[in-house]
Amino acid sequence: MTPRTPRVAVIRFPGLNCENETRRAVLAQGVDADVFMWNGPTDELARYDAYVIPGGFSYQDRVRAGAIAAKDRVMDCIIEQAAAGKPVLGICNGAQILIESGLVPGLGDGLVEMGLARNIMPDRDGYYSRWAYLRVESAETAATGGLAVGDVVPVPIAHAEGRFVTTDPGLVQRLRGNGQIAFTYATPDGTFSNDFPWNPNGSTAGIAGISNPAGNVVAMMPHPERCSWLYQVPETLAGEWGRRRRDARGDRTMLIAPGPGALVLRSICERLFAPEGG
Amino acid sequence: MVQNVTLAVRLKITDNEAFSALEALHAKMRLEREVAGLVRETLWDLEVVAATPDEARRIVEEAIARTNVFLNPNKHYHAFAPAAGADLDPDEVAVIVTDREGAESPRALAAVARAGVPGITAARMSTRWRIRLTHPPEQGRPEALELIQRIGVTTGRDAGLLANPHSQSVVAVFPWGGQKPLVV
Repeated sequence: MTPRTPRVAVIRFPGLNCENETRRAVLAQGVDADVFMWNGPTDELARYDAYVIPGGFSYQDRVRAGAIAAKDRVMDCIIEQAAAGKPVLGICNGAQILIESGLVPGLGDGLVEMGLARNIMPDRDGYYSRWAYLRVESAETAATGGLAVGDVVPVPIAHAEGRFVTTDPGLVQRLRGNGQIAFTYATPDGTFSNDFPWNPNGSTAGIAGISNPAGNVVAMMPHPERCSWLYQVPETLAGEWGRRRRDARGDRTMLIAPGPGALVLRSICERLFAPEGG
Repeated sequence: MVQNVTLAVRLKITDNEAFSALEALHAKMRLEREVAGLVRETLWDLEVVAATPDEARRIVEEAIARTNVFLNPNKHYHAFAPAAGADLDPDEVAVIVTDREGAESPRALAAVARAGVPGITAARMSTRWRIRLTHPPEQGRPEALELIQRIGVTTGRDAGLLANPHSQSVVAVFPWGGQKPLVV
């Protein structure tokens, strides 16, 4: 019997705006992907093999980014499926929803243990958009399984509330010890940096993405779907990926090669093809 | 002399954000029996160099008239907020939510300076949620505080909505004038 192609649900909450490009970037990893409405039947949702909550402004960021979507019924299903080991990726607003739902960092059994607070930047405030360089800190998460510790993945960020914070003084240390810090912000050569603009929002310990203890749920502020093909990388980008993009100038075959964000999405999807399943 | 002025700004039109928050409290947190209504206000805590409180308020009114940074008069009401809780109805409590970092608004100060209004030296923004309860809170009884904690401080998916305590501070205000910081 031919093995079934894994299916990924890209959740569309009202106000999200990255679901179609996210679906397209996921499809490019050789899986099936559907945009699934937040109020769709959860028994149908439960049949998917993995879940991506994309970026945007769920419920128009009313009250606080991700706060209302985190309480939606659809999250009951995603929490249940995450507990069963299925991969879940939250990107930007999706990350805010995962944090507000207590799925990540997930040390306190449903407790909300962190916040994604307003960006703190020198001499400016509000929404900020730029390329960030992510350093892989743990290869044990669903989003980094195909990468190695120390790898540099340039990925765009675009948010106003992306600063990982917590009032628990020991939490970051525990996350580090558990390998739950998937990505930190870094310089183009992969050196960790907490300084602006490398850390673009003042995030605690330069955190750009974290996982739950099992590693199957990952919340990341940068947008891997926006750099899933090499043509999406600017020629001016510093480092190896910028060089590859310059080398590909005018070469269509090279331009449609996977970009850095594809490495993140591929890590998620490769889990679905693993013999033991998601 | 520095005078502290608190400006409360509220939408004239329907506040979709308050509507969504109330809907979440009712439909997602099952508090329809406890919470009857919700109004959102932006509070501006301003430090104004002025000889008297009246002079400080006049400076703030001038800043409102000459900039659009605090409010848009076409769609907002504004009032100078009295001492904590004094403007609440007997069946109301309030939750004031302030970002722990980043609540100061250098953009507002820059706009005021550009407009040539002297004297405003600090501007800090908070959100005040006025919560109308089905049963008026009673002074000295713990139920109101427990309910506000349940509404105001997000500790889990089913507990709390209006503030994330990891990034925001929360103060409960009661109609009898009492105030209490809420903590996890």
